[in-house]
Amino acid sequence: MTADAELSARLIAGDLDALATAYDEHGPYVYGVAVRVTGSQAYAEEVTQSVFVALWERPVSYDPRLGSLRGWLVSRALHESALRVRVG
Amino acid sequence: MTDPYLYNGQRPDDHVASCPDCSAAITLADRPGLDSGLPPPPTLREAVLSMARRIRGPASSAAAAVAVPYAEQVALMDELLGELSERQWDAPVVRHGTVRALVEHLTGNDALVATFMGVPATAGAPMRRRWRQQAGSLLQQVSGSTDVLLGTELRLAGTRPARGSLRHAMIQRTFETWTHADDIRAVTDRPAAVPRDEHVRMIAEFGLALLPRAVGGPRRDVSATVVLTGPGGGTWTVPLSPSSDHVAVLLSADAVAFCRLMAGRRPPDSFPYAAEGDPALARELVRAAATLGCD
Repeated sequence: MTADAELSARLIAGDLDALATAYDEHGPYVYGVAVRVTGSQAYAEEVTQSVFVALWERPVSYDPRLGSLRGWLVSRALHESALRVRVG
Repeated sequence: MTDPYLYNGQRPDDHVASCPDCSAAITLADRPGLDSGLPPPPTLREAVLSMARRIRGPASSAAAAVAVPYAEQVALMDELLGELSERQWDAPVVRHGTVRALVEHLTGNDALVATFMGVPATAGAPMRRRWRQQAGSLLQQVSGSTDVLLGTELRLAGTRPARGSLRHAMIQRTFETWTHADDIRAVTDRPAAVPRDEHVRMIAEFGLALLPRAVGGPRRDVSATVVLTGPGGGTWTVPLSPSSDHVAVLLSADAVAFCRLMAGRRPPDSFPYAAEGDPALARELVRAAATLGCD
């Protein structure tokens, strides 16, 4: 099993330590993209929180067969950041 | 509110390419730079975990004890199904026709528990996605279960009518998912796989709890001691009736092989075991164990 698939299994099974691991491994990349797109630390924090909480709330929405967890988180951060910038 | 991005099963790159907002954002962010991280403020970690905890409580230790083994088998099955070629989906499988029909059968048995947990059926999607979506939603529901709910009875899968607690039903899901993943491995020239030792032990214990009702013939007021060896092994004394007074037989076998016997994947007549005590009862127990599968 890949590390991402194992982490995904633990998230689905309700292991909050798995979310902490995901945050520690990928948080800087999620936060980094959010800061770059929104230009705001406050917005970037909101986006980061929202992305990780969404992963925890609906862990099945990440499908390890479709790519890496980091790719999924970063592209979600990009999407949410883009919406913030558009809304202003 | 449903976020289409969360549910449409797109690869991240496909999404970004087709989303005007994301494309604009990439221009802002300068794509190559996206690979470099920036440490978030230290307080954000606890804020994220605390909001996550509020939105969905972590699994209790009793819920995790059955959710984690199943989640692992689901992840392994999902990886396996993702690797199959179109031709392999149609590979013949004994008892169920093809790999596709086998996954459909598994999805149907999973649905017994999923329906009990209020998981809506996923219709219309391709077979693998339908199975995975249901299994994932079931897991998520079970991970939030209380001890009371885990003790609630429901119908178990299998040809013989049997009921068990939600906890038992989840162990049975782990057992069946492992069994069918091995069925698929066998017909696609992949080596068989074995769950972690403690998960094998849990499956063996689940089967042994069902054993008394699977033994036919006249009621016997005796117990059997079963010694399972190797990874996942342990020793259990199984009373064959509520008023069992003494141990009539000691049966010993390999734990993983015993699980495969229970799954109906080892013929009982050639199953290797050792017995001390009543040899006829030992044979009967092996035959009864071989009827505990979910086909």
